[in-house]
Amino acid sequence: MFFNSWTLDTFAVCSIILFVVPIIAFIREKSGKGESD
Amino acid sequence: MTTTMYRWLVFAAASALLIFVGWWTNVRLKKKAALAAAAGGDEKAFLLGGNEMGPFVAAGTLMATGYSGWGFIGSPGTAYAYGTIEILGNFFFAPAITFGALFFANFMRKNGEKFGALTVPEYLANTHEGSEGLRRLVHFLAAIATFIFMSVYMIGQIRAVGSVASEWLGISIHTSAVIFMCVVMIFTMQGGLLAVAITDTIMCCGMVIASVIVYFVITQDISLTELIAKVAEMKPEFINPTSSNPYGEAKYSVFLVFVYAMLFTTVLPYMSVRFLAMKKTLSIPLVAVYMAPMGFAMSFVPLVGIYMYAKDPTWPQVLAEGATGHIADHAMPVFLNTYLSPALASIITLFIIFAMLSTISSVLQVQASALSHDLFVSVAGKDSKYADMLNRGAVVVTTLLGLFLTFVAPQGMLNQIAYIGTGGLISMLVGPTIVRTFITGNLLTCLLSMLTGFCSNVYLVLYGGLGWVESPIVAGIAGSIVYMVVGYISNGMRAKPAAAQ
Repeated sequence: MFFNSWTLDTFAVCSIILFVVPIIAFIREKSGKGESD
Repeated sequence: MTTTMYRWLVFAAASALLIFVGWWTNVRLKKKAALAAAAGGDEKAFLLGGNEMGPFVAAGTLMATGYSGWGFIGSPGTAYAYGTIEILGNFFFAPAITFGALFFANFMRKNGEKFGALTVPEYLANTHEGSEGLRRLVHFLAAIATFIFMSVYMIGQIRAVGSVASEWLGISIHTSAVIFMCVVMIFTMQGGLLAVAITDTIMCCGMVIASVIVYFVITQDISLTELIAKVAEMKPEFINPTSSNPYGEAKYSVFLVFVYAMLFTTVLPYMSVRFLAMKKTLSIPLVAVYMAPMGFAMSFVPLVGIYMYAKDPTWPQVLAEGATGHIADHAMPVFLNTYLSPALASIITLFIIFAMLSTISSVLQVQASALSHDLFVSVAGKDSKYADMLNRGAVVVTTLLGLFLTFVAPQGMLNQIAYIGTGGLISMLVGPTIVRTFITGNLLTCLLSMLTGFCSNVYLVLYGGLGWVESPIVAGIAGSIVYMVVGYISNGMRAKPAAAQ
């Protein structure tokens, strides 16, 4: 897909998830949809 | 100025900075405790940093503690020996630590505050309902297990730091281990958990800088795609492995590393105590936003092993002739000495030592609090009048014990403990920590789950033929099932007791 290597492709996809999930959680918290502290 | 003198100066400056942070934290927390004049304020300041941990420090300390020296020495060596499977395996720690914090920190922080827990063993005892005797038994067992099984981890880290630092400073392994442990002991004894967290964050910044430099040096010589194409020609198995070795024979066993690291972040006391210490108003998603780039940057370090393989697949046998330990573990030291200037290599070696020290300081703090606060409270049934002195004294005792075990204790005894190691602790604590988020068990449920998890892990490691990754996961599942079933039944076939609902 990216590197013709399943290990490195998984690394790339999981890296995107690593960045996206916290950002979504942060946006949800700021907009009051997520759990607020 | 000679290289050795330059290194000693760098070491002295770094040590002075770490000790200064310990002193400054102590002064700050003393002032806060005096202002609050709250009962037990001193102890909370030492054990939980007075809940002063902000988002950046929380992110830095979790990442620095999670990524030990393995990430910089063992991991490039493993990548040299096994290929890109290690890049993926090492990377999984980044999402596991980040998501572990994102999904569980808030629950633990709120419950820790609600039930007045200063440590993870105390959290387990206080967040479950039951008789006073059972509470003290659970508290005692969790504390003693934390102290014993974290010792093995500590010994491994002391040996690693002694080995790397002795080459760096040109002194014996024993002397370098003693010197570095003294530095860690001084700042931990002064400032407790907050000092450990702040120094961890400084060290994390160093580790990220080291990772970026390493990546930059490699890609200046050869682009990432060219490097992968070259290794694919030399050894296709390194780029598209058909097994997950060294993480297991099956092709996708490496994914279990993610599960293992997630459990390790969420339940091991030296990681999860940070959840209890976070500021009450802190945004956990913001912590995760800071953690992601830190973990991502450190995930590139094993690339050194792939690069060294591409340069010359036969070099370790030649360059590391006469060297001790696993031959592939010299991938990083040889890379630093061959491709970086001596000044830059010295700084990066310091950052690698930082990676080990940040883990050591965290383990030391948790062991010391288990030895002082947890054992005293569980045995005496009340807080000590001399808690502050006990907590600080326990840091000194734990340091001395760690050094003693590292260099004097019989290897056979250490091997016996290491067999069970942190996996035993993980499998013991999965049920009461993770399952507790959706089923409210009582103290008996907690105790049965802990014993099931622990005994299953011992059996699986000794007789089940499972490795260090699979055993705690399977044993943790066993402990979790017991927690769910007993918790559900003891609540009258409900997830929570009728009173709570």
